[in-house]
Parts: sequence; structure tokens; C-alpha cells
Amino acid sequence: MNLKILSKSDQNLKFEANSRNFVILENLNDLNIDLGSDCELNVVAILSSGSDKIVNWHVNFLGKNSKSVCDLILVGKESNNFMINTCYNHFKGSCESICNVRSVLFDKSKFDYKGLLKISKGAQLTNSSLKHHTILLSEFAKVNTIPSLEIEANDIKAAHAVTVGAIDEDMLFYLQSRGLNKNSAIKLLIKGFLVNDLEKLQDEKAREMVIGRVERMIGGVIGNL
Amino acid sequence: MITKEVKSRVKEITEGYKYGFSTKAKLKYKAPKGLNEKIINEISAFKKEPSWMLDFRLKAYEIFKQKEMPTWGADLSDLDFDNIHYYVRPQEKALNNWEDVPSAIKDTFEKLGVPQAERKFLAGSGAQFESEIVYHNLRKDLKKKGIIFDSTDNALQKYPEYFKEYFGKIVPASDNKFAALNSAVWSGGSFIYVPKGVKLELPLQAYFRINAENMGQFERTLIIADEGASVHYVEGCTAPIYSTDSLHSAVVEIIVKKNARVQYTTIQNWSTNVYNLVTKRAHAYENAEMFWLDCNIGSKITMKYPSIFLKGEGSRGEIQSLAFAGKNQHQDAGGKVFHLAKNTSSKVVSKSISKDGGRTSYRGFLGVSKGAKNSKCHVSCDALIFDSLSRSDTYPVMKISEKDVVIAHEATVSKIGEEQLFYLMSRGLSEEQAINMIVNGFAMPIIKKLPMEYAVELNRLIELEMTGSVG
Repeated sequence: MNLKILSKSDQNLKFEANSRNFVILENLNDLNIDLGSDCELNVVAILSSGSDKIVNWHVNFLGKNSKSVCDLILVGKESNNFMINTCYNHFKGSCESICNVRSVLFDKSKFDYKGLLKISKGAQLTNSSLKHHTILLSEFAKVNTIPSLEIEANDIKAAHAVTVGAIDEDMLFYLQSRGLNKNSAIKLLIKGFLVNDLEKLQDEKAREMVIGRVERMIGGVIGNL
Repeated sequence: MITKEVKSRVKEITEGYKYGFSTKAKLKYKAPKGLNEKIINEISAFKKEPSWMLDFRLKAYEIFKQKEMPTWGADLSDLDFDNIHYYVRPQEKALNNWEDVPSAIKDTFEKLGVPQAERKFLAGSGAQFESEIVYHNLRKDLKKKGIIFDSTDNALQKYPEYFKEYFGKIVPASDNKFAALNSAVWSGGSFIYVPKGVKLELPLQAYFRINAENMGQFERTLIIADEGASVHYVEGCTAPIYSTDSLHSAVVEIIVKKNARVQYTTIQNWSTNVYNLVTKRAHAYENAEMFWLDCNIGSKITMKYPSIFLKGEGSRGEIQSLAFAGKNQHQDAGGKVFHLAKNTSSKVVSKSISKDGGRTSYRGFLGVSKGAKNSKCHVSCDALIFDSLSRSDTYPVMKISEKDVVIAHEATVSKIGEEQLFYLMSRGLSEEQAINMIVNGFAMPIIKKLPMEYAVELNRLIELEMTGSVG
């Protein structure tokens, strides 16, 4: 598995056939990834700083039998603004794309997300899903989300799901009844919420690394909670 | 042996859309094609409207001229506003007795089953032919309870106080280009008022029929359910098949007051040369309930997003939308819900089917404003796409500004499951029967919310559309 950590300016990546790649994003910059056939790609984005510009991430399936899993982990605080558009473009068949977005918003932070799953006529046997889950932790936090599907092939599976809510009061009570104070309980629940999909990463080293990065980010963002 | 039933069924299938006939009816007046102030003045004069309504129309016309066409949604580039008759008057006034309706028009509605439906299971019925209501009737016992069910034109004359208070307030002319057009040239439609505490057990129905070629139908419906009232309104519509296009652009405004309930059911079956561009909106107050049941089978292009503003604490909204798009059809439909108060809840269910190159697009909006604590909403969209010629889109927009909420949205797109098909065929069903059964099951959660007679009819319509799916 080839590992790339992207933290600089706009990137255009082309992954040739039969490659296995792991990409970590820590900044908000445009990204375009072209996948050849029989590729495997994991993208993990760990974000805590906002931006005034709209960021566009494209993953284009140009060859058959490729798979991409993208996990976008986002924590907003103060007046951070996040405007992210993701687009999975399936041009060839028998590919799989999974996009999981998890956001936790504090203070006056705001997240505008547009996620598009596009399956063209030639992309039969595509299996694609997009999920966006958000926890709002303040009266002034906001989320606007538009998960879209444009499907022109019939022998496919495509799904999307969105949930928005506050921290589950029953879960919070359970942890506090086990002796944790409220802030520690909230941190634990947020961590569990954010790393939920990362625990399915198959590469053990990569999984430990990204979960570690998420924990450090959580500690840095909500350390004084 | 081939029975009468089988022969009739074969005839039905081979003749396709059975409502595609036209009627040679003598008309009182038919406006020339195109729209201008002169025609708007004529419409208002024919109806002997108060001056404020003419003023309203003319202002709306100015707004219509200034507004741009929508840059999203279906392709409306072929819609030619100058090639439409904006007003066609079939007779002098609405009548209360089918026997008095001119025979050509009456026969049209007999063929459509409207008088029979009224006799069997309705509390009241209205029939619109071209631009005007030709028949309207409400059961006498219901009139005594203070229920008003009349054409919007008549109601404007008899009950101006309701119009001054509510008309154009839920959907103002400036809302969008087609609301402005309707506000300028509206004609026909239903007015319903249900007094406090009165609950109508049987539905009220209106049936809309376009007959002339290049016709524009612009009915305006206003429904007011007073506190504690309950009403179910059903509308159906069909049109002849022509090679040129017609336009249907209606506006529906509904006010559901405290503890009241309104269900608005539509079975849209326009012919495939009709542009169906409609604005429907309801305001629901404290503990009120609004239910849109929207079935779109026909039309060339439909753009329709029934919406609910949950303005009162504890109010509830539900939108069930069924869309079927066959060859050369685009159903761009969905629903919008605005949670503006505490403890409100909503549910949106959308089912769409596209085949033979048809396109269905679910377009939805969910907004939760700050302070709308404890709002709950669940949106579920499922699409069946039959072949590689067809297309399905889903565009749900969610804007959440309150943290104490529970919001969930899910959508799936797929084809008919091979395992399901195999299972049914292994039980002796033909492939066509199996597909029909699966499609029926797919649409059933929505169809079962219809009154039984309409559910049966809708099942039949879908089955008819599915004919020829195999091979």
C-alpha cells in the first residue's frame, strides 16, 4: 500500500491500474483523483481548520473493478467555516465507492457539504454509498448538507444517508453513571462517533495511524471542554 | 375461451392512455394564443371580479414578465408561452346537477367515471373543463354544517373576507415565475372552508380536464380548515393526446389551523404532451396535521414540490410522493418541509420508477430553524430504474440550525432484484406478472394511503404502464 500525506496545494493524482494507495488529507485544498482499473484507494481527511473557499474533491473511476473508501472526519469550533463538495464519478463498471462523512460542530462553526454520486450509462454493476452524520454541540452551530445521486445505469446499487442530531442523552447518562464526568463522557462519545468508520480499515498500521491522528485532533480542538 | 373481461383488458392495453380522446364541445369563448394585459382584463371582466383582484392579476403579470425561468430542474426550453390559449370558457356558469351540464362535456366526465364516483363514495365533487368549473355539488347535510365547497371563482364573490385574508398569502405571486403566471390568469379550482370542529368523513373531489389543443389550465385552490376540523380533498386530472404541448400551472394554498387536519391527494395522469408546473404549499399551526399524497403518472414534464411550513408547536407534516416516468417523461418531484416551531415532526416518503428512457428526480428540502427544538424528521427516497436508457436523480437539501433535533435521510436506487424475480417465477408466475407484483409491492406503502377506490385505480394505471416491460 502506497501512503501519501497531502498537506500542500491543489493536487491532481492519477493512480495506474493494479495500484493500492492510502491518502491522508489534513488541509482544505482541491483534489482530483483518477483511478485506473483494479485499483484500491483509501482517503482519510482529518480537518479542524476552516476556510473561506469552497473545496472540490473528485474521484473519477476511469477503469473497471476499482474500489475507493473515503472517510472525511471534521471537527468545527469557534467561527470555522467548511465548504466541501465531493464528487464520485463512475464512468466504468464493477467499481465500488464508499464515502463516509462525520462532522462534529461546536460554537458558531458551520459546515456546507455537497456530496454527489454520479453513475454514467456504461458503469453497470457499480456499488456506491454516501453517508453524512453530524453532531451539533451548540445552539449556533449549523450544517447544510446535500447528498445527491445522478444515476444513468440500471444494474447498480446506490444509496445515501444523512443524520443530524445532538449527543445521545442516554449514552451520556450511561457513561456518567459509570463514574466519568460530563466532559470526559462527551469526549469519549465524540471520539467513538468520529472513528466509527475508520475501525473498518483493513491495513492495521494505517488504521492505528489515522485513529491516533484523530485522537490528537480531538484533544487539540476540545482539550479545554 | 376468451372472456369479455380479457377482450376489454387487451383493448385497454393496446390502446394505451385511455384518456387521450378529445371532445367537440361548443365553447362560449376561447382567447387567442399568447398573453397580454388585454386578455387578463377580459378574464377578470368575464368573471365580474372586484377591482382588487384585477389589480392583483396585473401586478402578478408584471412579476411574471420580469422573473427568469428556473435554471435548475427539468428542461423547459421548448415551452412556448406564446403558443398557449390562456383562457377557454366552456359554458356560462358552474351547475349543480349533472343533467344540466352540456351533453358533450357531461359525456367526457362520464367516460372518466367522475359522476359515478360522486354517487358512490364522495361527500362532494367538482369538475373543471378547460378554464372553468362546469359542475359543483356538495351534499346538503354538509352544507348545513357550514362547510363551503365551491369553485374559487364563485367563492371570491360570495366570501370575499376569506380571500382578503388568505388569497396569495401562502403562495405570493413573487414566489416563482409560474406562481406569478397563475396569479395573473388563474381560473377555476376549488375553495373549501371547514368550520371549527367539523370533520368530513368522506373525501371531496375535483377533476380537471384539459380538452383544447395548446391549452393552459391555471386553477387556483384555497383550503381553510378551521380549528379542530378535518377534510380530505382528492384531485385527478387527464388530457387528450395532441402533438403540440399544453401547460398546467396550478397554485394550491392550504391553511391548517390549530388541531385541524388536511389530507390533499393528487392522482396526476396528464397526457404526455402536458407541462405540469405546480406550486403547492400549506401552513400548519399548533398541533395541526398536513398530509400531501402526490402520485404523478402522466405529463411530459412535472415540476412539483408540495411543501409544509410547520409554524405551530406540535404540528406534523407528511409527504408521500409516487412518481412514474416512462418514455419521454421527466418527473421532477419531491417535497419541502420547514420546521419553524418546537416539537414538530415530519415524514417524507418518495418512491419513483423510471423505465424506457424516463427520468425521475427527487428534489427535497428540509429546513430546521433555530429554536425549533425537539424537531424530528425522517426522509426516505427509493428509486427503481428499469433499464440502461432510464435515469434517476436524488437532490435532497438539508439546512439544520438547531442542535436538539433528530434528523434522518436515506435513499436507495436499484433495479428489480434478480432473487425476488426468480423466487416469484419459480412459484409459477410469468416474468411480467412477477415484475408487476414487485413494482406493486414497491409502491404499496404509498398506494395504501389512498381511499380504496383510488388505490385500485392507481394499481391498474401502474400495471398498464408496466405492460411490455419484459422483452
